[in-house]
Amino acid sequence: MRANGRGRNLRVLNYLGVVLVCLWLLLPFYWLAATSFMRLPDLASVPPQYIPLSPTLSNYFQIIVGGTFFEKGLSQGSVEIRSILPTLANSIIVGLGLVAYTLLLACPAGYAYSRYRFPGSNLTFFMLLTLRAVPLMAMVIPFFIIFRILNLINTYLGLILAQSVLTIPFAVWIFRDYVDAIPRDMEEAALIDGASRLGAFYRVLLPLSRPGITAIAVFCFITSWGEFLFALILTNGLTLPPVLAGFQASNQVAWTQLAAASCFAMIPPIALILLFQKYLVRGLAGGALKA
Amino acid sequence: MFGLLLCLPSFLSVVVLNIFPFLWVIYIAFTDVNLYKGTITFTGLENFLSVAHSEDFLSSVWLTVEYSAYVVVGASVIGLLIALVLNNEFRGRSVVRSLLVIPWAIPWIVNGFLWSWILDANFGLVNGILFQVGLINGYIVFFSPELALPLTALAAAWIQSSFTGLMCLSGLQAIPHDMYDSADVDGADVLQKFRHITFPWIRPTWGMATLVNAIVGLTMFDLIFIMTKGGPGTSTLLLPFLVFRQFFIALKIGEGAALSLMLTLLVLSVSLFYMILLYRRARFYR
Repeated sequence: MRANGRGRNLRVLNYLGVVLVCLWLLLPFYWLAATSFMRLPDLASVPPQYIPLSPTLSNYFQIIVGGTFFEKGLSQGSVEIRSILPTLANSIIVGLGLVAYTLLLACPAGYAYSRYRFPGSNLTFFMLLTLRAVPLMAMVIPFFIIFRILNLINTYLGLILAQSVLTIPFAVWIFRDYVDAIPRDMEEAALIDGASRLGAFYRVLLPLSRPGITAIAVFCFITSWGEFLFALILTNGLTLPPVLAGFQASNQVAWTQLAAASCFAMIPPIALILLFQKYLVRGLAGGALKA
Repeated sequence: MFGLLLCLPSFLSVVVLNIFPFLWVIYIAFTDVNLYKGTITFTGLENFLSVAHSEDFLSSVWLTVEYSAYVVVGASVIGLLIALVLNNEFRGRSVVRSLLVIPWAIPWIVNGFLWSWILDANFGLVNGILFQVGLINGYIVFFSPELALPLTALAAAWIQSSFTGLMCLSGLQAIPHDMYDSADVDGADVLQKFRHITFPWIRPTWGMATLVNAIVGLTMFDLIFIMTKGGPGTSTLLLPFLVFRQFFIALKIGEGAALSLMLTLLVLSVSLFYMILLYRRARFYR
């Protein structure tokens, strides 16, 4: 076979492209990870330490244990750090709460929109989707006022309810799509065998739509994990994002510790995404969720 | 009726948590709220007028649109290129595709830190590299009034390019292979194949991703809060941050609400305009 010069050129070009893509995707991460293993003076060295010369785990130790630490290179000499563990626990509680709340409400609704026509079904479904286009910045104002009246500021429940604004419309939409793909015959068979309609939904449909449920659950958790605005305004540093932002706002920025904390904050979403990747890509079509 | 019953819980939740607060914010926009006395007085269009007359408002609207344009250009172009590259056969393709999901998964504020460090004026990676190579004589401040806006957009484009890439890649994989085979028979070159097969095929997907990118740009708050706080000066004072500033720092509740309504209007009109554009084009080409 004759070697195809242009084909080979293209292949070389493509490999070059792959290298560039990898650099674009990974370099920022790499620098964050590298920073988290450095001490502050190392960070300021010229030329930069592309690979930490004396890697240390002290940043991780400090953000886990918490306390006051003395460090070279800080103008004030010491930095005060609160342990990150309670915040991690809070983030997990809110995330799981949001998953439960969303699934409980959105699955029946998604099922109904797929299977039944009822008065207002088109209108309400359309409304569900357009409401999501209202910017969060407009929603947080009434929440702030109402939550102050109802004493929901800085509570798990308040934050979960607020964040459900982000997840429910999306979850209903995704779940409807999944149910659309499941043939009706299966439920009808169950109905003929004497199951109630609720039983058919519960015993036949839910097990079949497990991939959809998984995708929704992962989306909800990741959304809650990274959600900043509601957590900033409606709580007093309950979950991870406002606490991380607080690190930066304190008078003496503990950059290396903040890098370590940021690495912590990245692990759960990345792990979830990689574990459940095959369920998720389809759901991404609903995309605006994270926005 | 059974269907209605199943929808009721989620619909109630949406009414209580979306519609009611949204109506409330519209009401607030026409009032003067005093949080300490707990009084709400109706003031008509006053909030809107004072917003429209304020100096920051118009420049902020313009900055927001400009920012959104940067994000769209960066994310949609880079994302499409990424998808095209990763759609070809090469070794380790599945691994690289998994990597593509990662930026999309990380929290926005971590993304903000990431790029703040990389571009930092004292110890940033970019400054370090440029200095070592000899392109600059001293570290430069990247977050200057001229550069802050495009650079905060770069951070947003990074995440959104991953999202756009994912969407386009799944679109590309749905293209039937025999279309390319017959193009080969006709002797089409790479560019022709892209123009006449690949791009028309993924255009709806790419278009939706672009709309999402535009909305992300129009409503960006997290990155601005972390990276610049609207500064230096007012060079990155985007509309969402202006709402935040008026409402939560200046405690001008009514003005904040009025501003947030204008932001909503901006987002909705861009979306609507874009949907019409997309729909018309799609009909035109099919």
